[in-house]
Amino acid sequence: MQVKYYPEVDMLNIDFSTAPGAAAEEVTEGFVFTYNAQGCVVGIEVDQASKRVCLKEIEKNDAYIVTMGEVSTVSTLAAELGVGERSIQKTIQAMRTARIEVGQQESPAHPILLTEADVLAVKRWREQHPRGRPRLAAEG
Amino acid sequence: MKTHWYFEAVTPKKHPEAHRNRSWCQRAIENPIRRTVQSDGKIQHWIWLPHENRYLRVVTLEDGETIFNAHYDRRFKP
Repeated sequence: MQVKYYPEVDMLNIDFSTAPGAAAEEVTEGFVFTYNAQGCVVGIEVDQASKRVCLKEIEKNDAYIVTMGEVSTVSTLAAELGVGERSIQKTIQAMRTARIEVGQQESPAHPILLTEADVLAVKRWREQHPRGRPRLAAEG
Repeated sequence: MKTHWYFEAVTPKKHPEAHRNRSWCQRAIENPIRRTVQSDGKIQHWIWLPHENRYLRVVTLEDGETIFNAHYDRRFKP
């Protein structure tokens, strides 16, 4: 069983299985049960969890995993660094060209998702590969 | 279509089929058979999927367009 709490959105996820859900239902306000193809409950999502669940009790039982900041996107990282999204996309493209795996993307139509490790790797790469005048001057 | 990071990061693991049905998620927002506002301001939208014979529930942020979560809803009664 895995318990994850997403404090940024106040969502609690309890997964009894890694199997994906085939159907779901909101059994009472804020509690969505997910079922597998056989109709067994494989997970529970709790919206506004801090109001509906004793999170401190969960924490005491060592099943409490805080995942704040687990996932970033190109836009959130660009905002954090004060640069354009295109700049971050170019960095990721350059890293991938250098055969550095960074970010996950279900398809080109989906946004690139970055873990904390990805974010650190992107920042490190940008520090090591500065763009613009300084590099041109050094090359000249 | 605007999506929240929760929809892109968590929903594919919890509700992969609903996540793949992105065009229907968008249709649910644009033309729901029911639309209700949650106590936290998020908005729920339901739409009937005739090709799958079931309902899709789509939750957006307060703006009504940023998709936060989606799943097939077996409890919904229109």
